Amino acid sequence: MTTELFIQYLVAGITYGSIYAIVAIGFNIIYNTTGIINFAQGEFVMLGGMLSITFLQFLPLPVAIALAVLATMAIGAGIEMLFIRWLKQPGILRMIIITIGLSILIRETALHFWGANVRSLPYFVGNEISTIAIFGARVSPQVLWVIGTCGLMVVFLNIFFQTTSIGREMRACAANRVAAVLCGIDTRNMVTLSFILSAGIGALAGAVMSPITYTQYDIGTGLAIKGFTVAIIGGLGNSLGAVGGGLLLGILEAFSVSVVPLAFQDAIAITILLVILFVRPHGLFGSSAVAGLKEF
Amino acid sequence: MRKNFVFLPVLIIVVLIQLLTAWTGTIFYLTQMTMSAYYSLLIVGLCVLMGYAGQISLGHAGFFAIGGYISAALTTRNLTAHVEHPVVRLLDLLGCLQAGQDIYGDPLLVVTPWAACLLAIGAALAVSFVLGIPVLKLKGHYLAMATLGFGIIVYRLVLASEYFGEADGISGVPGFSLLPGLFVSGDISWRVTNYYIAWGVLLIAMLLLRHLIDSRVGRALRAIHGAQDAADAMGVDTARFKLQTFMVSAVLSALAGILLTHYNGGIGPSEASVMKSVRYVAIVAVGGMAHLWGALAMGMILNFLSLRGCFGSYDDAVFGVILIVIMLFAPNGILSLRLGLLSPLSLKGRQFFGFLRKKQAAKEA
Amino acid sequence: MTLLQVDQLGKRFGGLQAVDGVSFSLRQGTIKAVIGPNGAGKTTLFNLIAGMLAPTAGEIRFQGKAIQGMRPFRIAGLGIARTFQNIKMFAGMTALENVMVGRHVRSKAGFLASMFRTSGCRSEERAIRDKSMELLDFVGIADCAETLATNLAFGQQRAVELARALALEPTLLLLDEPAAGLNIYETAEIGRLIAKIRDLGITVLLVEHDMSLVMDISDEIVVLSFGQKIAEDVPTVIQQNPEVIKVYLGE
Repeated sequence: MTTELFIQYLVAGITYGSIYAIVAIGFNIIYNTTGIINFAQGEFVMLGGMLSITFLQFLPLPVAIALAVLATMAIGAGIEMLFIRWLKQPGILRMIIITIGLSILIRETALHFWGANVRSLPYFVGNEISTIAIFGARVSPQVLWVIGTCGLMVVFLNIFFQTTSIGREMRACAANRVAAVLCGIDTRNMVTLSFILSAGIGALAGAVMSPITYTQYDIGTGLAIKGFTVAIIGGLGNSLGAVGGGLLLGILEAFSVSVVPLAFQDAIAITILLVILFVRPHGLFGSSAVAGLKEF
Repeated sequence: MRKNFVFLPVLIIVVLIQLLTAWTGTIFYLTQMTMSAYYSLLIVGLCVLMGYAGQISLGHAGFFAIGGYISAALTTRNLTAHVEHPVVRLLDLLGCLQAGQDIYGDPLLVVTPWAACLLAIGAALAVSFVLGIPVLKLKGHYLAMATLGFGIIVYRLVLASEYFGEADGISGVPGFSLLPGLFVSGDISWRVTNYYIAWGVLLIAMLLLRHLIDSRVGRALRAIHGAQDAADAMGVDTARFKLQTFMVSAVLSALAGILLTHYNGGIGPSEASVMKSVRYVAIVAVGGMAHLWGALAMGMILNFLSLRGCFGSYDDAVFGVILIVIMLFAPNGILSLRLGLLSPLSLKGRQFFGFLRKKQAAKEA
Repeated sequence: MTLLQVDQLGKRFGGLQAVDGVSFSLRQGTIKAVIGPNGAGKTTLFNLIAGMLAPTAGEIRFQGKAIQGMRPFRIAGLGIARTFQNIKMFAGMTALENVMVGRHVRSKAGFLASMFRTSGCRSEERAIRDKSMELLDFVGIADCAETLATNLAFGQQRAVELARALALEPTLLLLDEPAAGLNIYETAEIGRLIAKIRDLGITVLLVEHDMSLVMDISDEIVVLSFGQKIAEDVPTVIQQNPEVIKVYLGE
């Protein structure tokens, strides 16, 4: 394999990997505050891309993306307030089924709105054929947008959770819900906020990735499976682990293109998922002692 | 057992429906009834796994596809060119091959439906065993995702293999002669027979599952669901019981896939899709999770409506909405709403029965 | 004759030594109580014996056979039954069905036999039902047999749990705070029941907070403090033991 080809695969891997990491972090944010895995997480990404494309017909690109992200956040909030908030101590099985139902509903609504066509935003800079050179390999400038945006989101989320009081309250909620309530934190609003946050980051990732990956009404399930795989690799609830896991899966997939037929691409992530679930369900980077305390 | 009294009314309804369609000249409805019965076969198996043993599976369409596809491939694949292959010779020695002619008059050598059926069920058993050992150690989200992953892998495999016809699936699957006079086939002259075959298979399965639930094994399963560590402390080998339940439900799913494939004369990749698995879970949930007859009733009604095209292009959306609404408002199933109203234990029920009694008393006075 | 032998048993959770080198033995046909202040390691010790936890050191011998680290269902199969401190009824099952689950290791119908309801399966089922009714009668709640277990009063649920454990026909019965949450009348009742169980020849090991019950029914008492055994003797001696008094009342 030539160096150029190697770099090309690597960049492609990092690009997809950072998207998977964002989906995984979206899972983590909601999981940490509620103990729920939101099976509709991939649909947020789809909505981000689709809504941006629709808004672009009337608005300039940055405004369209911003509006799409806000709209998806509103949908995230709406979902939480309509379907989750008023349930008293729902069982895990019940929550799994509800979020699966929601993902189907969003997907089917998208199908009726936008049809089954593959769509995409225009390239933010240049077009399909413009490239820049990285160590001799030619890559599209859009991949830098994707990697940069995802990287910035991770940094901002980290700052948000570490330094702001709301972020700290959300972490308290994650550590011990009852104790958080006793300290006067309104955990319900924290849950709503976690849905808004993970909808927002998913939508933004969905918008910036759409020029290169394209988007369609049904990309959600595939992304959710991969995002979940990444969340598991990194240890459920561990966002830095998710970044590592995302890059790992993305790069693995990119390099497997030369070995495994394209039709079996999805099977790679799922096989990794199954193997990790069987061997180390607390993740490559997680600790088994902590995992033992959580209710799966 | 006391609960088995339901069988007679169900049997009467089944016969009445057939007579009604014959009388009104709407016999074509029986086709969708037959198909719904096969889907319900899968659903009642899933109901035991989910409702009684408490283990979710988002991959049961995978077992349906394993059954259907293997049976379809074996009974359509022409082995004439491979006659000398040791495996083919072994099959021939065991009497598992049948010769014939294809539509062009060329020699055709395929596996007999009975042999294919047994091989497909064997495959489902083997896969469920190998998959079940690690998967059933998982709980909650992890179990859901792992089974979902299994379903997607099966879907990808059938979609990507030339052997399984890729996006076109397999067609031209021959009929399946279960016993003399019992021929599983979509041929119109066999329509009424097939309606009764499907119901026969379904009711036999129901009888076996009902027995299972009212037994030592069923109690152990419900105990696992109710309080796993207490079941463990009572000496229940929880891992083994979960695994065996998983295998029973996998075999029923595969059997449903086999029979429906022979009935339809083919199978396509959509049968293996995740949406199908989710649909089965939705139907079990609507039926009330731990309620076999509820699952059967909902399996018949919803599949029938879906197959008749009543939901139009909203087919999948309908099942999504059903999932949400049922889980939000009636997590014990749609029957729990009605039973709640009529049960003498519930407040509304008491008022209702009190009202009836008063009326009766007034009449007598 | 020694039924259960606990030898230098230890369990460490990270930095916490919950059980530290505890040894004692249990003679057949006796009632032994494990007492100690909160956090003394009683429940951990219990879970080690019942197989819910694996020890980090030491040995547990039951009828001469090492059982430490065995899965709970295997330990139950050997004839060790247990109850739980916070009662664990099988939800959605009647009191009778709960007890019938207890017959699990004493019966053998499998998936196929159950599905096809063989004649052996049918007669076994009758035997299970009769024995379970008998046990509900023994604990005094036969009239609640068809009630959903979770709908019973707290004291009745305790009785169902006891009957369920007895249905195993155990050689050794582990009772985890059998009087927790009961009033004094119910506690006295459960005390009489435990004595009756001992008279059936079943050896009993119990963890309990209620001193009146412990002093009343135990043949011997083991006292734990911070994971270590500080005393073991008959009740009258334990009551006089200055170290035990210190542990309970402080310096």
